[in-house]
Amino acid sequence: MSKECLNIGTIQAFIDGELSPVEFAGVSAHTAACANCAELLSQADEENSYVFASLERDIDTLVPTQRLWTRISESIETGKREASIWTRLTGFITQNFATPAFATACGFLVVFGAAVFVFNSNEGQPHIADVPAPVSSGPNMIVTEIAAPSLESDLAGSSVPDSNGSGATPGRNVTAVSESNHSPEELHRIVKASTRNDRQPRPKAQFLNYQYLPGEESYVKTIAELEQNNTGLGVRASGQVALQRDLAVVDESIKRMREVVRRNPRNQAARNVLYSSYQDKIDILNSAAQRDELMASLR
Amino acid sequence: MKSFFPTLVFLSSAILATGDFSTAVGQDRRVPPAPVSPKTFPTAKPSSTPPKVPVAPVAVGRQPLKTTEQSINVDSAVNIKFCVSDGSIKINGWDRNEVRLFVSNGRQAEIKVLERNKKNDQPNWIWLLNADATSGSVGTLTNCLAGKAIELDVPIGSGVNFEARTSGVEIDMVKNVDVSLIEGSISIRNVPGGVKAVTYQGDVVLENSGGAITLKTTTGNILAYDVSPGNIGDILDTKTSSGSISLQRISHRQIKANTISGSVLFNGDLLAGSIYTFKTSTGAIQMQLPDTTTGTFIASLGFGSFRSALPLEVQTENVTPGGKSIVARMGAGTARVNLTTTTGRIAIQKQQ
Repeated sequence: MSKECLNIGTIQAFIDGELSPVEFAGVSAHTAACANCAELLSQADEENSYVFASLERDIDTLVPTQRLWTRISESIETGKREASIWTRLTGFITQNFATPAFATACGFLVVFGAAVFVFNSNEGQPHIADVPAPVSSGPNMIVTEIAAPSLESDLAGSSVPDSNGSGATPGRNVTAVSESNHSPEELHRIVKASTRNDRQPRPKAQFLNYQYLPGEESYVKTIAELEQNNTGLGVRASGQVALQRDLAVVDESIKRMREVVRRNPRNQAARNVLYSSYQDKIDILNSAAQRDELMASLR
Repeated sequence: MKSFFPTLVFLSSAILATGDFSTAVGQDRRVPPAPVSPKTFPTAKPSSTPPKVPVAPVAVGRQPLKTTEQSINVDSAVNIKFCVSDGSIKINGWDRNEVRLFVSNGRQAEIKVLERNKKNDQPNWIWLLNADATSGSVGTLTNCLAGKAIELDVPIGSGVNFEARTSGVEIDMVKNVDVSLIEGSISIRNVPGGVKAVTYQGDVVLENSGGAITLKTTTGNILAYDVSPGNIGDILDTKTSSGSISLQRISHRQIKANTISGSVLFNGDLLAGSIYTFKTSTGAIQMQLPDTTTGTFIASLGFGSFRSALPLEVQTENVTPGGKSIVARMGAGTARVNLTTTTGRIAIQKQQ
């Protein structure tokens, strides 16, 4: 082994591909000429293969070479410099909460704040109309958050300025009730009703992942409209059964073809059949509507 | 006393319901007036013989049931409109400029003239309606005719336009027909000037007719044979939901046949320049054609199958999972045949 032979760190950096092109060329030339270094490189490579094969699941990082360590150190330093005030504050609080006296004091403060909040809330609610008229600001002003449509329709005839006298803020659906033409009982009823509305289960959001084909959406809309208008009044049970059976056949056809088209939107034949099935459904529903119309005219 | 009270309630209800005290006390119902015996017309086509005496009158609202016959002289190209609440309908063309209306065991009918021909002052548009509805004696009744059987003898050149609720319809030898039925079968023949026949439950049969044709039913089959267009561009449009369509010896150059769960059968020749559109969702499309057929077949199938017993030259064929399109030609290929099915089968067969 000559004094120019490579150390293990350089060999590892060579294996990891972390050397500069010049260094890489130098190491390659040396290992080609030096049998010892070539053997060392071979051994290191074998070890690498063995270690990574056995620890592949657990370790997904490379062996930290000198350069890697340098990079990590640099990143840490940069992170420290760029840390926000909030991060530093969080660190400070976390550190100080370890002190029992500080933690106890903070606990007292939290409990006291909660008690004040609960007291204020209970005091205001039952006496909405008893609140003195225009109050500029302060803890006694009652702000009721109500679903916009119901309250707006109820208060449409009355002038209800908010604390600033600018009226309700429609965007936020918040109405500041400080003065009203409604009686206290009526206001109480409105608030209760709106609370009940809030408790009702809201319709689930529907996510439309399916992208319509050109013209498909109009089919779907037409079908939806026709389905709404289809009453089926005065139709015999056998007629209803036939209608439902036909609709089921067409629905099945639409479902199957839509699945095919979803997989391959360029499938022209499938698209034709899908459109045809939509048209069939429209025809069925139209026919049912026309039958209802005829029955009504002959009644 | 306890047993008397329910009896009293029952008797009161019966009186209120019928409006006839004699029925409530157990006497015989008043016999309706004897039917007027129909006139005999030497040139009239034979129609079903009217019943002599109404034995068991059908209740239609609260009107007294009558058997009536009326006639009116009209223009040879008269247009007749009416509606029918209940009863079977037979319309027969004859070579007299006269309309005869016969209603058996039904509402009192009336013939109202809506328009006259300015040249001969004969009615060319008439309305057949319930007489009691116009007299104002009955409040909520409709204008529609009703009876056990309704028969019309009309000039051969007449146009007939009516709607009916529950009845079977037979029409023979008029100029054109427009009929809509809620329930019942329709049979039409010898109508050269165009037919529109719609029923929501029942079969439609069209024979030896012409013009623009529309035949629709929801639950029922459609059969059309020996049908030809009256003018260039007349369309034959047939549609059913859960029934089959059979088209034989059709001369129209635009034919549409659409069924959902039924089959389509076409037996005839493809005319040059014609357009045929046959669709079924789950049924079969069978075309029975002669060897000399020339046409281009454009088939779109979802999961169905396509086979031909005739030699077709396949021009393009795209087969993908859930979609198959075939364009094939036979001969010069001047006629165009569009065939669509989701899960059904398409078969082109040799005409026997």
